[in-house]
Amino acid sequence: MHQTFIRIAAAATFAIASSASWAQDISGEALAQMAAVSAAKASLTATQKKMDSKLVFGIYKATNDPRITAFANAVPALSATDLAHPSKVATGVPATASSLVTVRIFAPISAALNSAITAANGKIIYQSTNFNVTTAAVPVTSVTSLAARADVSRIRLPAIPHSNVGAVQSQGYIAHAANTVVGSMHIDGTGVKVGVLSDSALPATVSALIASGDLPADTTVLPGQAGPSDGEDEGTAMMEIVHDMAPGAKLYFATAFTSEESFADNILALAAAGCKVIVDDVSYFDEPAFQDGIVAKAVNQVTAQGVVYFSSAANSGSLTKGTSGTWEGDFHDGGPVTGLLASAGETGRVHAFVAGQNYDVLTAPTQFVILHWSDPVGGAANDYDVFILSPSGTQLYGYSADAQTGTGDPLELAYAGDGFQFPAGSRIVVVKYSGVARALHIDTERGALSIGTSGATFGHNAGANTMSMAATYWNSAKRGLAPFTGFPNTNETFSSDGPRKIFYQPDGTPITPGNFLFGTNGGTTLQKPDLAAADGVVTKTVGFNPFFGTSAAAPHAAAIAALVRSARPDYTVDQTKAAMRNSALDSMTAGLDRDSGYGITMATTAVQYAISH
Amino acid sequence: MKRFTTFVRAGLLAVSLLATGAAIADPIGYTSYLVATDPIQLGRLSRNGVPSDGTPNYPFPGIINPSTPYHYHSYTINVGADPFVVITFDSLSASTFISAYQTAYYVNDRASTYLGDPGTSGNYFGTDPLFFNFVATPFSQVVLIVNETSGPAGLGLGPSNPFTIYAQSFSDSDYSDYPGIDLLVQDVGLVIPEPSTILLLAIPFAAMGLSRRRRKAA
Repeated sequence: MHQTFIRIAAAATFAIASSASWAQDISGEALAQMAAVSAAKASLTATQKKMDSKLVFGIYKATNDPRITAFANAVPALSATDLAHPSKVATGVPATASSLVTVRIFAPISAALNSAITAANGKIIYQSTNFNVTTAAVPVTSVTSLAARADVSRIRLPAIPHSNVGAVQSQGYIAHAANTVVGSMHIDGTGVKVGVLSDSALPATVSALIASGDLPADTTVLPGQAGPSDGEDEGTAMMEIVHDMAPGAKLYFATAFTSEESFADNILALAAAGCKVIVDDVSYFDEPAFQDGIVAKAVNQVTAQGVVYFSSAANSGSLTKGTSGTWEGDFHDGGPVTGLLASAGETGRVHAFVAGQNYDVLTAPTQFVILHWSDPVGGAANDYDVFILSPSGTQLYGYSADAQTGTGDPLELAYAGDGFQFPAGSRIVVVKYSGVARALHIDTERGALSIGTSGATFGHNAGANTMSMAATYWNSAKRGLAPFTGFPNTNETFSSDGPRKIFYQPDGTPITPGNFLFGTNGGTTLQKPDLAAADGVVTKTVGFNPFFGTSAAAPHAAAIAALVRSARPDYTVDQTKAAMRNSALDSMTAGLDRDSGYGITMATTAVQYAISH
Repeated sequence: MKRFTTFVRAGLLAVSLLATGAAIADPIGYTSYLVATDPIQLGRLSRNGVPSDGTPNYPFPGIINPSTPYHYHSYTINVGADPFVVITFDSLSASTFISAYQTAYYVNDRASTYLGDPGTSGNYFGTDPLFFNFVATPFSQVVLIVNETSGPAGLGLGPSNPFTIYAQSFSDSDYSDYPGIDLLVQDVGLVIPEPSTILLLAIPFAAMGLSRRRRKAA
């Protein structure tokens, strides 16, 4: 009770305090238009006062009435009724003097009323005897005469229905201010196809979510591409998010889990199906760190075809948050192999992570330790190996020591085994078996390192043509359900950071021939991640409530791209990206940064930017 | 300052429609902690890891450890016309838990009025506040129960285990009327002073300002 009292008092105070300066901020032309509106309003007859003002002025507009000439541009056109779908509110066809318009007539249901509607060449769509409201399609020129009837108390335009996006709604809908775009600007992704790739979207789950309204009825899974039968349906959770944010977009799905080649093929297939926005949340461990692999090449191909591509940056931590499980830098010669490794026959030179320490230490367990270096894919001539030792360095826990003789890939993957992990405290040792110094990238797949660096995101997740997405919790500012505001919305602790150094073109040619080191500024550095978006949101998919990770962030951003492309179907890939980047809320570090890129993408400002540029 | 948040919210609403919502004021949070003198109940709700999502008739998760005593405390929110409620529970403690009940809380029949819970304890990843949604009866009272989860060990008690509760309500699960309504969280043990002892201008704030229990501004 007191809450309401305070609200009203505050509203009045606001109005009084601000009105003095209000008029000064409005141009003379606008003031003149507003005066004309007031004059037109004052001239309404008693009958017209029973009608919505939008209906009255809409009829004026449809009949070219001079009473609204001064402000006609500000009067929205009425929608002409589509007789094939008479209850559809927004038909996109402006009404003219000869059109029918759908209205709600508030009057007791009677034969006389029905006869009057029929006599006016109207068509009754629905009547509610419980509420005494008749929805009818009535000629524009007959609305006023119906309103004049004594039994009619009001005639109003139908309410535009909110797209019912199902039993649950991602909090990202508010956090990214998509509610303003969808609900107020009436831009909902219509006309845009969004493709989603993840592990699976199994038929039973898709059907159930369609039935509950959490996915659109025309959700399409490419034939045979639903994913493994024991999949987790992460794809449906991602599609739910897109549908929540851009309920008019058409959704497609294809699995990325059959193989890396299948993943790349399905990216192309979704583009061929007409998807102009594609999003995935998958990483393959063997994707190259310093060069595009086949998935990144597929992204390049569809980008050239006009697709805006989004991917999760991954959840491998960041230097800023103290959760880095990445080490990236140049090989530093720490001396010859000694100790246990030498006893085992290993030769070569050990990498010094810091002066005097030839190993890094896992501070969180992991199942994988992956080493990449800056040789070309399919042409690695420098041979590196990786070893996992006990905390004391006296026991070998795991290793990867493939031979690279000029035709292999610059990759070593140490695996702890199914159901096992390299424990915290384990030492990671890198050995240059033969060859020359190269840039190194160590990925511990969501482990953590005592000596960590930035640059966690890699592969197609950080590709030049990929919009790489970091994650920030929908309530990271602890304000409850509210739009993001920027700096109070810090990234999740696990969100992978950038930047991403690459040394080769997609075809394997060196970017800086002969220079493959960080220390000599070889290659080029990509600003990744590009943006941040919400995670920790509600979905109806079992196992994904709440849905955390950059996997959840990516579809929020993809949906915003769909809203932009819906507002501007003429927009190119670069224009869409520019709209999102240039309108983002700065977060983490001021300006462009390695954690959130340009900042948090926001639907309202991105669409407004697109409309005005 | 939090007690003034609602006061300014209406004034800022018009601005927020044009901006990105940066002007939306923060909801009013209620910060407190459990104490050893709080009431005791036997058994506690099972934590199934899943926050209630606002689906009507959300299934009751069940009670575990039916013979173990747990301290608990009751809070209330008054739901208005907007029945879809979002509760934020900001707590680092793994030993406190919150749940919601329609109108009243029956210790011996918790399922009868159960509405929902966040499914777990302690902020996600040590930072992200918990949340849960439920649909309440319009124009009704909802009881929020915070209980410890460690039993006799008392790990969830005391000022080292503070929690902050925020409550927001909306017309529907689509948040169609965002920003909805912020709901004041009130301590069931609060004693309201006689009106004659309160300055008239302070009346709107009496319910949130004059707690005689341990309480601090969120």
